[in-house]
Amino acid sequence: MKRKLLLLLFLGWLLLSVSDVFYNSVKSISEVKSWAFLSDSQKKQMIFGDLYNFLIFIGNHTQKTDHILIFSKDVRTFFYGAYTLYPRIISVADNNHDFTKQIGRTNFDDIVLYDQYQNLDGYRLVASYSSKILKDFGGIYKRND
Amino acid sequence: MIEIFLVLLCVLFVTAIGFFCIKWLNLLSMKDNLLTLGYSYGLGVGLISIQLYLYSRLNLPWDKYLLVLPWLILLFLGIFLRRKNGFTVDFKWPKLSKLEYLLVVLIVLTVSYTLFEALLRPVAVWDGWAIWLLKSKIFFIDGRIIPSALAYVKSGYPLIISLLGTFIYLMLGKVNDTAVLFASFSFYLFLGILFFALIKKRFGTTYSLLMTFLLLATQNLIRQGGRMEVGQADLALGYYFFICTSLLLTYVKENNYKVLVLLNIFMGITTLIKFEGLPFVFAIEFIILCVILTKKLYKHLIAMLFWIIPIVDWQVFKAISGLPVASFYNNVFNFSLNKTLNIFIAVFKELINVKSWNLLWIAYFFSIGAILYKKSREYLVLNSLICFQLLVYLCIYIFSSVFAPDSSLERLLVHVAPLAMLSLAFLLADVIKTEKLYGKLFRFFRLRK
Repeated sequence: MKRKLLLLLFLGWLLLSVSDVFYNSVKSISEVKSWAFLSDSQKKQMIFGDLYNFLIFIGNHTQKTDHILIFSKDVRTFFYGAYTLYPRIISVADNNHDFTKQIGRTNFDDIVLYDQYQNLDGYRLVASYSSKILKDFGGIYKRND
Repeated sequence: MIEIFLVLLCVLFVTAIGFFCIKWLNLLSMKDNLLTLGYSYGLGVGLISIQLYLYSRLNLPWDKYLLVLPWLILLFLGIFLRRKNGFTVDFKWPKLSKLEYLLVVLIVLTVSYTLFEALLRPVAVWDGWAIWLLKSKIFFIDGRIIPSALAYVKSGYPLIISLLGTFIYLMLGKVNDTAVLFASFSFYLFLGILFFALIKKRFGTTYSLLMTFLLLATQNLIRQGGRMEVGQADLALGYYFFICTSLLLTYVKENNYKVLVLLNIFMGITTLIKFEGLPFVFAIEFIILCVILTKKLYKHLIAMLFWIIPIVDWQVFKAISGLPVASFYNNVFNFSLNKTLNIFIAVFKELINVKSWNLLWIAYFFSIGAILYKKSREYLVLNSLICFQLLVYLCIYIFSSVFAPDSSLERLLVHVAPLAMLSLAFLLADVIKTEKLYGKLFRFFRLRK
């Protein structure tokens, strides 16, 4: 009986797998429509939304050797930002307390604020960002030398 | 498109290195080219990554010619010398029945879909970017492994997978985070090849095609090989677990010293894929030790040390560089009955998740629970390894405060899923041979007697 049950399970499994093949084949048609004709940047925009554009913006307005503090509440900022912006070194703060602590501890070359503006002692605003997709905005502040 | 083609060439080159090392050094007792091919990508990846690691440790530049030339010389020397001794590599296309052609079509469709998905878009999950791809990019830009860069990544994972990415970037001359996913897909492909070759050797073509199709059509393996989770190391670890286990089964049966050497090389590579490889390798070493002691093969004891060398060197490198030495086991002890109950519920939900696993785990645990096993040593060894590894993961969930099954169990099961499939393939072949009623249908798949 147990052996027959096992064989039945395999039969069900086989049918399920064959139906998966057809499902995947049909799905790939819609995937082609959504993804295949997009550029690499457009694909990354689809995945990361406006964060991708903002990180590219940071990359365009900072030096490759800079150490940057980014104040952002988006949890993906460090994970994707570290990748996109390397060889720039980034630190991320997601709350005011941590932000103040990090500024006091490290002499950052740039400070980036996402979705907010504020005056920062010893730093000047050098570039402003405004999203074309969402209402997001931000600014890059460079250290006064 | 050209870059994808170049990555394909890199994968072929890496596979060729592995293939000729196994053939040249005669590391496998059986003369099965398809089986050798299944192991080759795994060995090639390990050798290339260790080469990059050693170059960095010895302050040699990661110049593409300096990296490729030693292997090219070895390849040509190997071919030249073996040709003299009548060495040939011939693949014959077998004659297939209509049913076999149908299964081949289903496998090709599944594999094509996975490849298509891998190359259609960049990685979607954050840790793919934050750990594996980030390290590859950092090593490529820095031109070597700098400890401060490893500290910046905040991940203590070993380097094999990231260095494979770096090798591809070095060959391309630039970072291409989509084309590099072809290398991830290759783990899926070579797992399929190895699984097919292993089953075919025992049970014939039709049955092996059926089982390979069931394995490759598992949605979670497709996700790891080409969809959402592509670019991470879990499928790679599953591939290496499968390699180590298949070589262990061969060693238990044949007690061949060269197989033991190859197994130990693969165990060394496995521990440098992810930390989760370590308990599995310990379990394998324990089984090898039992075989050596019971059969009094004391000369084999020396081969058991090979796998330790790379992992010890990696730990020494981390220690002298001021990096945290291990993070997998350094978690705070945390146990509560409520948490344990939730863990068991989460594990149960995942095992019956047909969307991710089809009926793989249901069939596997049914076969274990219903005590359908054959009383063969290899079946016992195989299932002991699977259950041990699952128990390790369960203990980590139960006694650690950091890991939760909701976010990671799906990935951890990928490590042992191919082995569970192998166990089921052994068992089902036995059931088909003895079962009269339903067996007729399955005998359609023409098992070799």
